[in-house]
Amino acid sequence: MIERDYERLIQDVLDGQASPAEVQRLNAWLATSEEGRTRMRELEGLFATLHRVPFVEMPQGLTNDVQQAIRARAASRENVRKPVALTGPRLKMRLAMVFAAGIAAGVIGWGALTGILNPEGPGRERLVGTMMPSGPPRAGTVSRSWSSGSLRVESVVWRSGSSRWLRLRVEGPPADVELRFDPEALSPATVRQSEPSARVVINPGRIQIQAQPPGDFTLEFGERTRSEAIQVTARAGKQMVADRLPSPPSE
Amino acid sequence: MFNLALRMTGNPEDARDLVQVVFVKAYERFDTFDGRSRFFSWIYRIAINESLNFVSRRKRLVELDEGLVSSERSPDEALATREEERMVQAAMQDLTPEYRQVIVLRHFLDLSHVEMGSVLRLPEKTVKSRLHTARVRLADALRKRGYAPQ
Repeated sequence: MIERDYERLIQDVLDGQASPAEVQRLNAWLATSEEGRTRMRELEGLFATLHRVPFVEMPQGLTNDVQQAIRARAASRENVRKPVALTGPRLKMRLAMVFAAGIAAGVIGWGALTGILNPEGPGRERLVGTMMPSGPPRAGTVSRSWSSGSLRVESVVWRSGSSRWLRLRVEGPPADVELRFDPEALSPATVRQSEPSARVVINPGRIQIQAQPPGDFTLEFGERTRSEAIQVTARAGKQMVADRLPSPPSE
Repeated sequence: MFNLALRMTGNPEDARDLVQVVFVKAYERFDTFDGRSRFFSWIYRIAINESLNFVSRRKRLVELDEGLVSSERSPDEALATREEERMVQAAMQDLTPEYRQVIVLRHFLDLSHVEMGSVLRLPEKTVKSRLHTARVRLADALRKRGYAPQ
C-alpha cells in the first residue's frame, strides 16, 4: 500500500504541478520502492491514455441549431416581457457577444484538446526554471511598461551574444500574458520564472504565460533576425494591455 | 463546449442538446456575467451545472457513436484509439459526476487548478484533492474493465 503522500506526489509530478524539490524527493523514493515504480507506471499510463483521447469535431449544423434556439428564446422573451428592449442593435450585440465568446471558448477547448495549447504535449516540453539570472545590462536595453486598471506589466529587452533576453514583471490580478513573434526570426531557448505556480506554454511563434502575480519571467530567444519585434498582450478580465516590444539596439 | 458536453454525458445526441441548452442559458443570464471572472469560466460553469442536472436526470449509460472519432491516424491506430476512447468514456461514466467533471476540465479542456476552482467555485485545494481521487477511481474503473492504461 502506497502512502497517500507519495500517491499525491506522483500525480503532482505527472500533472506538472510539482516543484523541483518535490521531483527530487519522488525520484529518491522511487529508487527504493518497487511498489512505487509500479504505481508510477500505472499513473503514467492513465495520463497518457487521457492525453490520447481525441478531440471530437462539433456536429454539422449545431451552430445553426444554437443560433435558432437563441433567436426563438429572444423572440419569446420579447413577446412576453419587453417588446422593445431586445431588438435592433442591443439584441444583435448580445447575440454577437454570446457567439464571439462561445467561439473563443471553442477555440480554447479545441487548442487544448488537440494539444496546441497543451504544455505537456510531445516536443513542447517547458524549459522552465525557478532561478532568476542576473539582470539586464546598464546600457543597450529597451524598457516599456504598460498598465490597465490594477494590471501592470513591465518589460525590458536586451541582447547578449546571439541571444535576445526579455524580462517581464507582471503585477496585479492573475493575468494571461501572450508573446507573439515570428518563429523564423526568434526561437525560444529558456524561460526562467520567479513564480513556480505560473504556467508557461511554448509554441513556435507564441508563448503563453498564466501569471499569478507578482511574478518575474525571463525569456531567452535565439535570434536569427535582429529586427523582429515581439508582440506583448496581457489580459486580466477586462483589463488588457498590448504593445509591440521592439528589438534592442545592437551591442 | 461540445467536447465538454460529450465527455460529461457520454452520448453525442445528448451533448448536442446540452450545448443548445447551455448557450440559451448563457443568453438568458448574460446580465449576470459581470466581467470579474473570465468568460470561459462563466460559461463553463453553466455547462457544468447543466450537465450535472442532465446526468442526474438520466441514469442510463450510453456509449459513444461509431462514427464520432475523426482523426488523421492510420486505420489501425484509429481503431486502437477508438477502442481506447470507448473504454475511457465508459469508465468515465462509472465515476460520479463530481469526479467526472474534474477529469473533463483538467484532462480534456486543459484548465489549470485555479481555472477549475473558478468554474466549480471551489477552493484550489479542494479541486486538487478531488482530482487526485478522481484519477485513482478512473484508473480503478479502467482496471475493472480489463484495460491497463499504457
